Amino acid sequence: MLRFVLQRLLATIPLLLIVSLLVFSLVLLIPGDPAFQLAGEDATPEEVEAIREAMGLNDPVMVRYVRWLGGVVQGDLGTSLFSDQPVLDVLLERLPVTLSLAVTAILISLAIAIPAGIITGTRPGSLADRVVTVGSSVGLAVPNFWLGLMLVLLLAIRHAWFPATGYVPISDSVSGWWAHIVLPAFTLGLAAAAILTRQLRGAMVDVMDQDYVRTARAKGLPERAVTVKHAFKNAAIPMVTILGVQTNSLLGGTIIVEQIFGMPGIGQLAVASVFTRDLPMIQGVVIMAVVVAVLVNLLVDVSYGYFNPKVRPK
Amino acid sequence: MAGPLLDIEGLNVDFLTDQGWVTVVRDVSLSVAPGETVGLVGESGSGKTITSLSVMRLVPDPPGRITGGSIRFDGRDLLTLPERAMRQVRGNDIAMVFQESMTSLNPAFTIGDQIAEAVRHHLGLGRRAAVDRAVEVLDLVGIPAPRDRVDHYPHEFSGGMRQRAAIAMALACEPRLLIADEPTTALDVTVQAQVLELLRSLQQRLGMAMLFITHNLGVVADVCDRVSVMYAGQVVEVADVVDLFEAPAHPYTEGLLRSMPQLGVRGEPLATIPGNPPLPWAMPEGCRFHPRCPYATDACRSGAPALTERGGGHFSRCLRLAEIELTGAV
Ligand SMILES: Nc1ncnc2c1ncn2[C@@H]1O[C@H](COP(=O)(O)OP(=O)(O)OP(=O)(O)O)[C@@H](O)[C@H]1O
Ligand SMILES: [Mg+2]
Repeated sequence: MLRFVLQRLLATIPLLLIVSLLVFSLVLLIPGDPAFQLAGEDATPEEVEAIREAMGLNDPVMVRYVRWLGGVVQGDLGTSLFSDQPVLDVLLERLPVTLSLAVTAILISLAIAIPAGIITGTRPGSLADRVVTVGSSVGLAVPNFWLGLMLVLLLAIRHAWFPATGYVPISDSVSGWWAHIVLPAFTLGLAAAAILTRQLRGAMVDVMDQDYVRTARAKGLPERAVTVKHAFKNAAIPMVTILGVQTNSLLGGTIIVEQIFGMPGIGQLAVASVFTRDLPMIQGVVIMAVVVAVLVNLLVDVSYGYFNPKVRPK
Repeated sequence: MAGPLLDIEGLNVDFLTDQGWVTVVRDVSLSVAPGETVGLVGESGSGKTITSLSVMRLVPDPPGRITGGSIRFDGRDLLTLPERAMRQVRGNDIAMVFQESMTSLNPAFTIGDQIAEAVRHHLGLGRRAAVDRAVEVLDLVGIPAPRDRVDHYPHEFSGGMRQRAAIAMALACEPRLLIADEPTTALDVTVQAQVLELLRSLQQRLGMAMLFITHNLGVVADVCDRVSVMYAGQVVEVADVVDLFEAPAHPYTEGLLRSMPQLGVRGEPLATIPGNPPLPWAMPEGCRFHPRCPYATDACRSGAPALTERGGGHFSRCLRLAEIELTGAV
């Protein structure tokens, strides 16, 4: 297993190199001149030029890339142009917010999708099935910014059941954390819940027709053991793949959701950095996103082996 | 002899198809005495699997439904048993081995898990004891190194070994009746013979009764005491295995015997029954076999024959039973 994980990690190195090139070329593509930005409105061209020289912006591109990459590998993502803090520090400070948002969103989507998928997949055509099918269409159709705003208006502003914005670290207060996280996590996870429900329902319908389900029944097992144990473990195989894809798009969704709920996470940082043309910070955000995506995919592959022994490394 | 262990009477099973409700099993009666092996023979689609699934009350519903008859097991009518009590029967009193071991074992769980599960459920053994029992039955069915093999997944077994494991799973709770639905059809010939031999010796050693489903009469001769022949959802002949081969009492059985490769004359083309079995929604009037029967008369086209005894526990569903001379295999 450890070897499998290491192999997978090694295999991502070329990918990471390509990404680093792309990230680096962001500097060249993004409109606006960071030196100009830093110097302020009233700076003379000479002052701007001096800053540019000091930042190494006048060196050849390759030199700048290698210098930058060397730093990145050692964890030096540069310094924020905006706050003068090391980019890595800022990222690490904000990462828990985004991670707890994303992880809670995934857990919520699974908590909805697994029972809903099992119930509907074992009773296709039933009332419950039709209700859930309509529900998942709605869940898919509703854009998450709209859902987020509605939840804030209704549950946070009108009824004040939840705080409208902000974030409390779980280490400060678990209940405070939960109160702040539940609405944004639900907003973020709803689309994934809808997709996973549909996917699991379809897989369950297929699996329930399989011979081994009949075998399980022929053993005299209660129907619950037949569906929850025998059928679900097989139906979960395609779901794990979808879950990986959904996790990636859900991480993208944190940008909007953090914005709506005023959460000081990576997503909000990304938006703010684009507005302030804080290039090192933008690069850091992208690198972090890629690293997280790689780890998520690795996790998916590993759990795939749990559900499907045929692909388990020997 | 004591009363039958399994006694099916007048079983009817309907299915909802594109053509509406059709009866795929019609008035089937069948019995198995304790310790006896009964063969259920017939072409594909004749209703063998549906009959045996009815005994387990596992006919897929929808689209299927048992619409009549009784299935007595040890005196109790299984068809009126509450589901909960029925679950106590499945896997414990009556166990089943299916045709395709590749698909009938769950690919996501180890062989040991799948055996131990039934044992824990029915016999209430703890985890450790259930695994020991799994090892014991794997050993019983001749799987080498059973201690290691319990932790393997179905895809790590060969076809023959998988079917042995499926048999071990069925035997784990010492059922009194084993239903084997074409247990060797998916295997290659040498492995077929081994698995058959295994089933026969286990049946004798454990003294259980067996309902053995096959479309191969040669296999019937090897393992069965008595045979029921099914055609188009009906039982058309019931006989002791020797009687059936020596003196078949139904033209369909005669046709089946003639088409056995083991009995064909070398150099002559193998005889086959002309035509195809009827579809459930287009059953012929009168005797269901008449369109393919070389002995059919006008009477066969209009009158539906009943299953009648010719003597000595030998039954046949043929109007012309007394008039025609059928040839056996020996
Ligand atoms: N799920 C189903 N839906 C509709 N009809 C079915 C279904 N299952 C079985 N049948 C019909 O019931 C009839 C009997 O099927 P059954 O499977 O019992 O045949 P069999 O004798 O076991 O054949 P085989 O040798 O191919 O296994 C067939 O005509 C089949 O078309
Ligand atoms: Mg069958």
